[in-house]
Amino acid sequence: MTEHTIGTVEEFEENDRLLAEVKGREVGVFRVDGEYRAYLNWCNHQGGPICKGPLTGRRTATFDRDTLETEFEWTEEDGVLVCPWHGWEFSLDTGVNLSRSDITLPSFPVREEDGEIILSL
Amino acid sequence: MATQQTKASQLVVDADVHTAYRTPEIRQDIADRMDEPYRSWLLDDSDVYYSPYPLDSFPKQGESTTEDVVVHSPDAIERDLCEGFGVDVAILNSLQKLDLIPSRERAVQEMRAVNDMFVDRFLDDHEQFYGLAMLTTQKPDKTAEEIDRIASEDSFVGVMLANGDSDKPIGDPRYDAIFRAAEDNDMPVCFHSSSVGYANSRRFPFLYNDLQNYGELHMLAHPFAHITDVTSLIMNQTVEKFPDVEYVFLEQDLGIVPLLMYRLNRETVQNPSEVPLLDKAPEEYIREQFYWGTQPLPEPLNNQDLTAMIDLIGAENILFTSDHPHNDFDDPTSVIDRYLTRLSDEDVDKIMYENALDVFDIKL
Amino acid sequence: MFDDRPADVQELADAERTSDPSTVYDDVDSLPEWWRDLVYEFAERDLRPYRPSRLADDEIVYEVVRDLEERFDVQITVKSTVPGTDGEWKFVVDGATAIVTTHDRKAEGYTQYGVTSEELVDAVSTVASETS
Repeated sequence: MTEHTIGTVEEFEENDRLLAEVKGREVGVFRVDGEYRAYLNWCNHQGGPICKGPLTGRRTATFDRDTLETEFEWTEEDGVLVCPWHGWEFSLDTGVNLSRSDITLPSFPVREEDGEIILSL
Repeated sequence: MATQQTKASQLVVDADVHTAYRTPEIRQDIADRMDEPYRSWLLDDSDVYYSPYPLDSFPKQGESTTEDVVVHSPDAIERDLCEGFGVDVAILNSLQKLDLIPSRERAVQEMRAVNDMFVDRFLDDHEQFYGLAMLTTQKPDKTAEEIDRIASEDSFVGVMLANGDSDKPIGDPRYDAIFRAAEDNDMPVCFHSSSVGYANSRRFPFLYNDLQNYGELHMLAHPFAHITDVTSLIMNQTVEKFPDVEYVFLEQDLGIVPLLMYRLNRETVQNPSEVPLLDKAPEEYIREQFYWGTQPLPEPLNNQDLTAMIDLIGAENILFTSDHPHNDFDDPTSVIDRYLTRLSDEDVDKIMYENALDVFDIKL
Repeated sequence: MFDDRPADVQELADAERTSDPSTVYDDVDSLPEWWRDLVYEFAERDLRPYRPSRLADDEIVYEVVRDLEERFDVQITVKSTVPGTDGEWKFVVDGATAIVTTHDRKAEGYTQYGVTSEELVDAVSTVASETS
């Protein structure tokens, strides 16, 4: 595995992500609750540039079988990454697809050290 | 020339057999179980039920409706279907179009009367006959009560909705009480539409009189109603709200199944916020909870294409159905001989009887 | 990273000329190792077949960048901080931006930047000479 410094912490002050191409592979780095996540910029669906997509939240629901009422809640604002091609949605924290739990965005180790963002490939 | 390998099935269970409901005698039998004024209204109906009621088949040989053919008595069914075509167990339904009754109160009362008549007339004293209780969707809470009521009758092995004419597609939350009752009572919910008086006969997108011929009507009517309701059950998350309910679709055409599985996979993965209760792909729900009747068997020019279709859908999800006595009937021997020869013996048995015995929990 | 690739994938790598695992390649084994490894990696992950990003004149980005790094003894980072499909991408040479361009993931399944190899070479050599 090789390490690559692709950016700095300062770049996350005004931006929600850092995208880079390293050795033929495109990666998107995001900051989630102070920790960094790096995902392949290639949607599992049809290879769209997922890491360029908008961020959104997640709608969860619970159903009460006795009252037949469904309660909805909007959570994880900006915690869901949406592919700009067909709208596939992935958790920014885990990389798991919101609809298909068996589909996960390929990810890579990434860390911050001395103010630098270091990606491992 | 190689001879076709013949297959046989040790048992045949037919999951779609109709009974008459509009002969004067049967109508009187139902009316006797109803209060006035509905009793008289039913008896006063003209020969065309809830007139204007379109005929359910264009005359081919002069006969025009189910009521004109011989399913008005269990003995007739036994003679023609069981002895005549080798069906061992028949799951009967009256296909009473209760949702076409404008008066909701009358629909509820007639629902109960129909089901009571059905047991007395067609099921009692006939060990090889089981029944699907007929339901209206017009007052879902009353429908749920009816499911609770008939569940204790052993000869009812499921409930039926004549789909396509409910106020909303069947997965609409207003109908949740029906599926909760079905789940509570372990009753499979069966769906059967109609070429006349239903989906594209009286509602969007086409009306009965817009179509030029019977083939147009028949092609569109059944599949359209079922595509709508399967989509509704998935996209309204009924399948997750009541995960133990099994759904049986009759006369739907096997060809709609890959469309529903794969297209709904796509619709949900692209808009997960619309279906937050679902935790599986639609295809998984369909493979686990949905069953499909064989009739009318699609007839590709190359029979092997039907085998491929059955493989896609899964033999474990398919039930033999005849649609007796309608004129697009499939008899069991022909089905096996002409269309199922390339399946394994195990898959033939699943389709011809095992799946139905399992879904309807029939112990012989 | 690829030392522990599954045995069947290794078998594929050692196999004769083949169109597997990517149906878009007639001969995977003739590709440069970095490219071939990514083809296999994407196949293992059940992704759409890997195609390398290229410049506006269809030169392969990684190979042009690697050559420039060797030639000018610099480190080149290809990056962006601006989301959205029209976001700007930069070729950064030892921390200094050499050129800003567009980034387009084509429907055909590869990325194309809006700068030619000639423009990139000029830009990198200019920055490299300024900082040396």
